[in-house]
Amino acid sequence: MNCRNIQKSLVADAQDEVDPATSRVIGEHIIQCRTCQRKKEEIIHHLRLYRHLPAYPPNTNNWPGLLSRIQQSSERKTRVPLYPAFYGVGALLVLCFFFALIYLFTNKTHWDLQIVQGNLHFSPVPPESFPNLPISLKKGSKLKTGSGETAKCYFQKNNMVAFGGNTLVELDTMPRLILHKGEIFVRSREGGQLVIQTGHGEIYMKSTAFSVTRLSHSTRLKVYKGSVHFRSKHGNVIAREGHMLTTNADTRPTILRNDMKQEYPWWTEAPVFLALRIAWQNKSPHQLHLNLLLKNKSKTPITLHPFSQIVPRFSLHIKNKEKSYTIPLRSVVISPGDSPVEIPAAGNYIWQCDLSPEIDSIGRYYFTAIYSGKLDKWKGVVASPPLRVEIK
Amino acid sequence: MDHDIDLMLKVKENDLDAFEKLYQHYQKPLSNFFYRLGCDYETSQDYTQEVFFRLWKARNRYKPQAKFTTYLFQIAKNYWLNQKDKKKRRPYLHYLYSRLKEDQQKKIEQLADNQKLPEEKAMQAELGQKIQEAVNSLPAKYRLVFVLSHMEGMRYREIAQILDIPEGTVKSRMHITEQKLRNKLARYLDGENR
Repeated sequence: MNCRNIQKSLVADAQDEVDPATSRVIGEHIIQCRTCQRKKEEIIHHLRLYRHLPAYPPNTNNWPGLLSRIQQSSERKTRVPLYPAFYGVGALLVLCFFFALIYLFTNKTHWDLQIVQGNLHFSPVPPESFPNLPISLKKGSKLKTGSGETAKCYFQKNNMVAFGGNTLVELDTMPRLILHKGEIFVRSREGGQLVIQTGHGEIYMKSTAFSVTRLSHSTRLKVYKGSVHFRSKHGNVIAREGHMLTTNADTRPTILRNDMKQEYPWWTEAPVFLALRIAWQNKSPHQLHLNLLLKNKSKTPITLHPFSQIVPRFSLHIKNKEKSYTIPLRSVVISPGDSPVEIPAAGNYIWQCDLSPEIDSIGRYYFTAIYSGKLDKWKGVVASPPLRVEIK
Repeated sequence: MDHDIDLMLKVKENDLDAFEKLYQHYQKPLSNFFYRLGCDYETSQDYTQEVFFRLWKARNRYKPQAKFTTYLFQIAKNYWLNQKDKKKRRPYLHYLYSRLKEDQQKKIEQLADNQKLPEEKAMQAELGQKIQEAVNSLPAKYRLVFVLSHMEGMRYREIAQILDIPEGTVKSRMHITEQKLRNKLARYLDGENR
């Protein structure tokens, strides 16, 4: 080995990292070579120098910190891993939920309708439509009255809409009604909201009373109570109580009168009001007596002949989950008798009816009293609000 | 079988007590290793904890093929090299971080030396600081060999396994390191000789 190779191995030799044979060769060389001897001494001295490195400061025990990390990581491991697919499915669900909400709140397609008076022709025909029983109609359904017919119904409970003769209304996305022809009278209770669309503009209303007439070239609006907002492509107008407004396809809405009398159209109100109440009820055996209240709303006395007619004027509609049928009222009335009844102006009259023979099973029953006939100037059908009775 | 390997095999079966024993035994050598490689005190402690955390996470993959220290220092070396690369990529952040820790570091070093006499302390502190600076100025591959050999007292064969290089390379790197350091510390070597 020459000096160069020896010097390359001196560090390893000083650290006792060479094999015994090489160590012996290095030792023999150093005895003879003064340079390599000095080199080895320098290296040994140099290696000793590293002892002067600053002492490592006292160690702090970080075991609690490490233990806590380990425990946290094992907790994390037990959770369900969230792979990208999970994120995708999650995002899809959120989107579905979002669109479902939009559909529910902005695009309601089912209307709740309750006819309380008169007769309406449906297109398409719903599965059943009995007076005063709520029915559900889809968007696009059309309701119409024939010539000389009138009808009164409730939309979404809070909006009473009375149909004049020869009127056609289409149900659009709630709360929008499209008046294709004829005349409607609208009276809304608190919380009610409807938008009436004609070919000439739209009427936005809330808790008010007005009538809209769709003529061939124009629309006429009469406001009886509150105010409505009439919007058309030619401008917007707020029509207030007593205003009569007209508009057509080419002109801005114009207020024709502002001193209209506060009279509702004649066909909107029947002169009598019917209501059913439970008189008494027995569980076993099932017995049920109802009171039928007649109220004269007109300013003149009226005389009714409820039981002397061949065609019954008064009838009672009964519905439960199994069947739905109508019986003449005379078959169930037990008092006061079958003589004609005169009801004074703004007065009341009560009949008591025994419905026990009609109760043949337990469950929920609906009863509606109906009067069909002619009273003074009014002619049509009037029905009581449905009475719900639970038979247990 | 090596006692540490025995403990590590228990760790593999989720034995936390065995893991604590390993931690208590090796936390100081490992912190010292990082400290000698040029990390400050806080960083050394953090790196040590991180290495042990990685050791726990990788316990299922452990195979008793070599000494436990070889396995442990392999993880430590890889982690140190990774962090060193990150520092290169984000030098400004690390500069700010090191400035924040500088004061703490000085206080800790003062605490460590408080047993010595003032003159001796001053001389040794200066020399120690110069040596550490010289070591820190070495390229990583030489620094690793030097620290593992001189500070941790490891044999060349083990260093070769940790660094995954031939034993001959360790020997030549040690030779080059010694030359480099001797050049850098020539003034102090002369002073010592006189």
